[in-house]
Amino acid sequence: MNKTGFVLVDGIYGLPYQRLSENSDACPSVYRNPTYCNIFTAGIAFAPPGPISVPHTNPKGTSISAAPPRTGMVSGIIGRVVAKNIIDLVKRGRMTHYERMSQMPAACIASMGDSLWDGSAAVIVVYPVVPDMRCFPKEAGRDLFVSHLEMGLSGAWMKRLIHSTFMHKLQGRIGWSLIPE
Amino acid sequence: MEISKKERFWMNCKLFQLWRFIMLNLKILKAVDRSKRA
Repeated sequence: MNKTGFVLVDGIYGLPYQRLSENSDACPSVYRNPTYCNIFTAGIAFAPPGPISVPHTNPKGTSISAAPPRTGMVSGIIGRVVAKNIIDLVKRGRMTHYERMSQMPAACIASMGDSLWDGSAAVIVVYPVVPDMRCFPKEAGRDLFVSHLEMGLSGAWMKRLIHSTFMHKLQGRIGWSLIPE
Repeated sequence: MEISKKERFWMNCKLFQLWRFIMLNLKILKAVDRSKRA
């Protein structure tokens, strides 16, 4: 673990921000602790390699830096990767699944009224979660078709859609594995 | 930041919001399609 209590995994730690922002491979891909190979982490349990935007310090000397989000959709995707890799290890003895946060999408919906007629919600979609300057060098590291904020009734519809499909997935009904996290 | 009357109208315009809903789904599906490559 690092000094703040998060589990160290297969990322590259200790890089300064400038080098970190240029190296999308610094993000962990299989979320396994390099020392204890039977320990995997998903969601907020693992230590991110560093901030995803330029770190700042306020006049009182407090460090302000944006850590990558690791809850919701991100934790679901990491959970899938970890679960499939554990199955792989048991059956084949090697891992075949990976997904870095620099390859991962995330969607977040903040509801402001759940009515399907006059409700509203803010939808934020971002891809990739950690900017990848190699794949999207002219777009600040992100796919600008996907990365978007939308506010309105369509957000309330999206919230209902995601809620219903997620419950369908959680209950393991027909086609559950096709539904995104 | 306050939401203006014009913005509020478009936020609740059913036809426009249907278009935005379709576009949101396309955006999410495009991102998820890339994600599933793992």
